[in-house]
Amino acid sequence: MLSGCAMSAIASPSSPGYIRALRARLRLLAGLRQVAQCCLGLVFLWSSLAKWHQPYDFLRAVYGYSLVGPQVGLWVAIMVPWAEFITGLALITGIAKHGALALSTLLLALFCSAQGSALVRGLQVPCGCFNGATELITPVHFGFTGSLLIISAVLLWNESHRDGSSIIDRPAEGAGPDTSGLNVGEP
Amino acid sequence: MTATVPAQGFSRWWRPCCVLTFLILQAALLTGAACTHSPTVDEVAHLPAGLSYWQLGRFDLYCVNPPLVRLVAALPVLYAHPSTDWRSVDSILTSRYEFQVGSDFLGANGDQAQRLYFLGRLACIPFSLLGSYICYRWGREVYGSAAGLLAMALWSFDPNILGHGSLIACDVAGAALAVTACYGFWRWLHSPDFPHTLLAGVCFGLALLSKTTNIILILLFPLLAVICNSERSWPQGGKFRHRALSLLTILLVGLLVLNAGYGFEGTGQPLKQYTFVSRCLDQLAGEQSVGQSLGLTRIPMPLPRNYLRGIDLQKRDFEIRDTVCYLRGESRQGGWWYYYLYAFVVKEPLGTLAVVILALVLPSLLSSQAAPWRSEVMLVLPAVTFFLLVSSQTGYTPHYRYVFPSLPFIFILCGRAVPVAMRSRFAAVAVLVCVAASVVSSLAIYPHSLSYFNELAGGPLGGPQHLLDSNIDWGQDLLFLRQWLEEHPEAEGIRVACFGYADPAILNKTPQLGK
Repeated sequence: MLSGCAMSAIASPSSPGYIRALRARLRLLAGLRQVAQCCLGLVFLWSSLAKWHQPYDFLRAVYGYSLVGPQVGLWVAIMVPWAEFITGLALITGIAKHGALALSTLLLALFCSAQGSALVRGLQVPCGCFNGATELITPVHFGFTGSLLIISAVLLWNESHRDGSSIIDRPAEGAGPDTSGLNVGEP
Repeated sequence: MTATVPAQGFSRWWRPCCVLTFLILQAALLTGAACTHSPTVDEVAHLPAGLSYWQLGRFDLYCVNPPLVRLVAALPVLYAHPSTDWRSVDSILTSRYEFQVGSDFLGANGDQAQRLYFLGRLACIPFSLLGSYICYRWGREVYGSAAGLLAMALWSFDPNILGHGSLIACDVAGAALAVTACYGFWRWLHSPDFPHTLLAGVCFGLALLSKTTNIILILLFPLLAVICNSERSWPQGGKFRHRALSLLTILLVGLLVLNAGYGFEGTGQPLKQYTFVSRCLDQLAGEQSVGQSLGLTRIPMPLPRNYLRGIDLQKRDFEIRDTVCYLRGESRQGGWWYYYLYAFVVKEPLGTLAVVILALVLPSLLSSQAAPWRSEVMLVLPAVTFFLLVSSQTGYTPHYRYVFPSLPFIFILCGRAVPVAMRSRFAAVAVLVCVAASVVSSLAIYPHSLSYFNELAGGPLGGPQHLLDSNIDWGQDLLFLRQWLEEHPEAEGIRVACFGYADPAILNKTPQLGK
């Protein structure tokens, strides 16, 4: 009987036990979200540093995909490592988070499309992901990029459905939450 | 300060997307410029100087400027295993022997040199990005989001920032860290708690470590603290002590960071052990000086030896007036007090100049205050101080880049046109058109941004009628020359009048080229 009462008290949405359990669960989810965001950021940072280590190998990889001309390919090779570096840094620090998630999803979608297209066309080209010219593109690479894309898209979806005042991060009375994604507050 | 309303809905997406896009575009433009230009005059010496700091643990080379940028630039180069030739470090005893060391470095690395300089330049690009981001943040907090983006656009696409930000040089880094230090100090003024104190101190120290001009911040910060508290009830008793101690902490942390950057080399050395070559420092602390008669020269200096030596050498360069300066077709020994003002007018895009005018005029025309005066003083005072400090050194005025520390403050101040323009469609269109014109004018000459002159000055081709030296040609175009020679095999008997230390034969591998 007692345990039944306790169960019903916890199950009741207005009971303190229910709110505590809900908060703990949401905190866990928020923690997981942070970890996933940081991991995604680290992957981007690692990838950008690898590209700068051998910039010409990456340029060769871009040309290998045969998707763009030499001039556009050069600019892609210049821009992609910076896009990865800045997105990775923003994901890790949480600065401009919304933009970083949107950008990471866009980048991963582009990588996925490029890799998929290369596989469909049967091209034996370097992947251009981390190891420059040494590693040829395989379905495993495509799968890895695809899973990163799914993680990024889920984070993006999750972020777009948050109203900035959830039960765990509701601000104190009188303090406005900074939902701008830039962590800029009025000093 | 205007109230910042939390972003809602679409605006919380587009703003960060714009910021990141600007940063990526700027980084890409800087990288594109970095890989297409040959090492400029100063870069030839900067990179080996940075390597010498890491490899030899000495900070003598290129001591006229603090070492931060060179240390950062040399870091990725160290991992590329460059050949180094340090014979000249001890054999030549002139004050600026870093250029001979640089020449040796180029010779030792031959074909690989361009790649090494490219790696060094890549490492310096984040300084420009930091400046860009601080322009956005500060502009946004003072005048609103659109103003922040305007300041960011003006910085990111400014031809002078694009031209110099892609090089291993202290100018853009110094400007970016100066504005970062002032922003950190501004934040501290509003919340003088320990984390903000520490952050302001570290930023201040990094600014000191990036460019000698930033030493003026030591005087500027206390002055700003007094001015920004002048109309408030000045904190009494314990609160006043707390505020004063906090300010002192910022200055001490800054000094600590500065000394740490030099590896505490020569810290605590008394003035009497120095041999000053500039008149100014010699009169202050040399033999039979005021300092010596008062016994001050025995006090240990809390500054690194080479920092003080660098200031002394730089001061001597400004005093001796043996360098020929050029302005508007006239060459002479010594400079002009209005040189930098004139350079600002011819080297900044007309769109930017128009935004500056709009920012001055619009608020008064529409009888509107853009932001509280304290926030604007924090921007106006550093901008004016840097400009006046550099302009006061009339003995030597060859480079517009010396006033770069003023630019970010000017760009943020341009944001004061935005809140006013929001209320008038005509004014809003005018501001937008001006910014777009500035960006288009800058990108039209890319990647030759270093040689930029605005349309009123006749563009880059008209540049030599106004200014010379690093304002137009700093030895950066040897790779373009090689490309031209490859495209024109019929060209014969070419001779190069090359400004700089980079030997064209090394970079071009073209036998008929001579220096």
